[in-house]
Amino acid sequence: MKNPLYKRIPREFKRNIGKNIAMFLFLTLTIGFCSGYFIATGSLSSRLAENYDKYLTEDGHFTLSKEIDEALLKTASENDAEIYELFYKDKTLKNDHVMRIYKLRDKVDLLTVYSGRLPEKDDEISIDRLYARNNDISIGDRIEIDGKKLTVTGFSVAPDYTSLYKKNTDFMFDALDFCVAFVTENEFESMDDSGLVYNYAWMYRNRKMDETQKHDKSEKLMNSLSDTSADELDDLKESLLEAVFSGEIKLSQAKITEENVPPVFTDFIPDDQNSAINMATEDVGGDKIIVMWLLYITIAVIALASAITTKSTVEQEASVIGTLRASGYRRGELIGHYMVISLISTFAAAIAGNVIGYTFMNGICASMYYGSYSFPGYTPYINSEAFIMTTFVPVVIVLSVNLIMLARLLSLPPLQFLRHELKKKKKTRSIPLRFGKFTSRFRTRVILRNYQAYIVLFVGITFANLLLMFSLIWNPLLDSFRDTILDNVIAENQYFLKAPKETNLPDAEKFAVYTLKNDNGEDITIYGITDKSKYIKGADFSGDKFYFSSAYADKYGVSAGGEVHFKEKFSAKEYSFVNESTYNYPPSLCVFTGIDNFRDIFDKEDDYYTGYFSNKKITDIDDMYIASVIGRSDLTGSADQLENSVGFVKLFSIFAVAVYILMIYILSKMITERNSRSISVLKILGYKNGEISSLYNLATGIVVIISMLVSMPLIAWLIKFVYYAMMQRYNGWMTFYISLEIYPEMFVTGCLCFLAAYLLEMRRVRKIRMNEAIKDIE
Amino acid sequence: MQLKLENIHKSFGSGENKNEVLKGISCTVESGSICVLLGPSGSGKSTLLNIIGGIETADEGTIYIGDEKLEDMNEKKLSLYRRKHLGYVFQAYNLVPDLTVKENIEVGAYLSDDPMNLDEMLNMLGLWEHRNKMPNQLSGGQQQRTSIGRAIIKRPEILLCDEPTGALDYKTSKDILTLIEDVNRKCGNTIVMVTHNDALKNMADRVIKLRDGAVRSDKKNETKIPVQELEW
Repeated sequence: MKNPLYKRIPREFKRNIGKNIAMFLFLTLTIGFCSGYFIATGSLSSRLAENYDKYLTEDGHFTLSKEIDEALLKTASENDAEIYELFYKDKTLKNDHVMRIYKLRDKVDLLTVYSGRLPEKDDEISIDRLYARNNDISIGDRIEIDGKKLTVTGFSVAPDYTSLYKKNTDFMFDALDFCVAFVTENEFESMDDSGLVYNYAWMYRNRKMDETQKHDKSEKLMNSLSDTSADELDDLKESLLEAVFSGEIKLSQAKITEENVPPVFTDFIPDDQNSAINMATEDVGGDKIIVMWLLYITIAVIALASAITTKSTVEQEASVIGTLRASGYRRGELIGHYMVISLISTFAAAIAGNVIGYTFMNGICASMYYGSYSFPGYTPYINSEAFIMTTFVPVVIVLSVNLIMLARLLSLPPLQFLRHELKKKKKTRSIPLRFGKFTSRFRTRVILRNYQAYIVLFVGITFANLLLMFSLIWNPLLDSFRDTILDNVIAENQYFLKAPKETNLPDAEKFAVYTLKNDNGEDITIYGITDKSKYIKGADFSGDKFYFSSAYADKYGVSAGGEVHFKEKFSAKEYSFVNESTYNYPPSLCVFTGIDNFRDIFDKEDDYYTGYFSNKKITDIDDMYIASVIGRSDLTGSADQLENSVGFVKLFSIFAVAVYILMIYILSKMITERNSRSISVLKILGYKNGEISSLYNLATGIVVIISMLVSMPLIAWLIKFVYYAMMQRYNGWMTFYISLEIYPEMFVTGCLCFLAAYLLEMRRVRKIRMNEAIKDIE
Repeated sequence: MQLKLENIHKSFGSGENKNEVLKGISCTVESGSICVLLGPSGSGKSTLLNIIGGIETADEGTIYIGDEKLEDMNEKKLSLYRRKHLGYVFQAYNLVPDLTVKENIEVGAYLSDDPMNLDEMLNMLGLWEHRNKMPNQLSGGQQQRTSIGRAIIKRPEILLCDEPTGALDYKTSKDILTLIEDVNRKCGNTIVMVTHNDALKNMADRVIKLRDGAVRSDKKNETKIPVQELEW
């Protein structure tokens, strides 16, 4: 015979239909979003993984000062690497956007056409899909490059540019102002050589390696190529000397010139260090873990709230349970009975959520990534891992939480149930409350009596606040970052020269730069600054002191007196600098020192410099001598892009509000129901509904307010901790900042959520009938 | 305050399941008197008490509380009526479990603009040393004393007691009934007490016996006996 208690389940479900439907919908939507998200990220990850073999993604690339020579090609070949020419030309458009033009490829980093077609004629061009979207460019539009108009034939996706990083050292990709584009070989050759970069990709002949093997192999390749380049330079110097000594040439003719100098490395980036290739993969994978934990914490919080309400039901039905236990019902049967609704609801929500996830939510989630990265076309794959993560795991969490809560409670002997003595301590001593008005003490008693429910409420509110704060910090943080950068800009323009060139502009001040790597593998710019600089003030550049930028000090926790080791990018040479004091410069990870000290350290000539700071435009240096100019907009570009990418984070606030309302609603409902008899008595005594509601529901309100106030600093600390950890993944640094305006915003949101739940609960209080208190007697 | 009931009818259910619980009850309870409503289970005495208390409404008939008619009162007025004029004592005490003895009595005091002195009340009820205990730390008698304290601290003109000793032993019942008698004597409130204990008719000024929803007898008791002298 079936357990007759089963018949009660649908009635019980119906009795709490509001709560059950709210929980079901919330779980369904949460699981639906997560399921869609896991399917989308799983599909995208698979697609990205395919790139390596299907589209022959490079194993790395390097740039040289001129075309590669035989010696370097031989060295590469000896290291199992095939070298492919991937020259590009960076062209600045009229709107100051940079378009990186490549020839069409056929051997490495093969292109996918997202829509349209690749260029076939000389005046055609295909551009990156995301840049086109961000700048409203359609197929058939014409783009003017160096005065020539090219027709956009399609949107292409390159596996070496899934994130549009202009430079690998950039803090953020830039799909707003930077684009990669492809033209025919003829078109490429016909363009002038301004902005030409001698870029070479390499692929290993044997590509079956694990990450460590590949990393070691790339290190070896880099060292070999670097050694070859250095040897070539030494050979050149030697041969020049020999030629002088042998009288073949005069001493004045023994010069290293642009023609005879061997190619020098200007960049070397194995694919595992290439942000343009890895950022998307890391972001998709990293976010997956965050969303997974978000789902599990949400389920656990909801399961806790549900278990607390079930526990309250068990307490109210103690005498029935005692009778059933005394009649022979087993503990397991009753545990199963009391948690079956939670389990069925969770399972049903998981199934419904997966249906939503598979049907349309995955497309929405994928589109969030398509707004930041240049992926090829999207095809959702069936993902068994996602199904397990969103079905099996939530049910197990709900089962575990309920089991822990109920197993202990239902282990009491039947007699204790019959006597309503469900606590280990039979008689609880009251906590004396001697001060305050009667109503305040009443509310305090309600809080003390329902402390378990309120602890769960605190956990729920903390979680909701975490989501809320995470969704709210970004815009003020980015605004603050932009403002800080603009307030602390060194000069309106930083000119980086290809070769030394004097200017007559009095405003211009020489500086020198060199790039080193720190222990974290991050590129750090070392600035050589002239003594008594007009642009870097408050620091003494006459000696050998080093001033670390505030960005570096903040990111790596370097204070005054701290010593930091750096090494050369392409050799094993090491340096050690002691931070004299931190210089307030948030945009960049850099170190400032005097220019003379700089020249000594890096063995440069006494008049060595690489650029100018200037608040005015330098007009007397030809563009061909200028490698790049950094202005205000270049410094804030990463903030602009990040703002564009974190738009979806605002969804978190909607989710947070849902968690808020649901938690307050479920737990205050439970408290009202648990106290329905007392509420009924209060009504009989003449208390008005508003007064009763203010006693019970305002107690919840007090807990909500205390929870908000207590959790906010905790969350701020936690978010700061997470932010610092998260930012370690990025090159560069963005100063952490929580706007003070966020706190009242969160407070008001929490209060409004409470108000919504309060009104619902007031309705429930109104519905409690007076004969509730006398029904046992009737 | 005088209580006057005229032709009170009340039924539950409808159609074939309709159960007429009160079939035209009429009676009067004089101001400051103790009225005992006697009758077996199902006679309708508790329903009648609930109608007097404004917890339930009569289908038919009129209740006069002093000069006011109960049927004319809306929900708000009824609430005010209970707040200002009524005290209620239940068989199951119905104390607020989260509150101490003192605080439970304050629940009643809060409703009055001129409540009795709380400390004096605790002393009178013999609960001074228990004032900071929670209801689950008290005996049944102590809980009922607390319940009476909660009811009378707001100086109600009418005290409704529904089987106040129904869950108590003989000795405790006597103590509680003595307390009710004292309250009536000191405060002069009208007391309507529902009981099925026939012996309690002797402590009342008026005894109304109900059976099957109708008044079987309605007598004035000329020979009141103090509770301590009652036996059952």
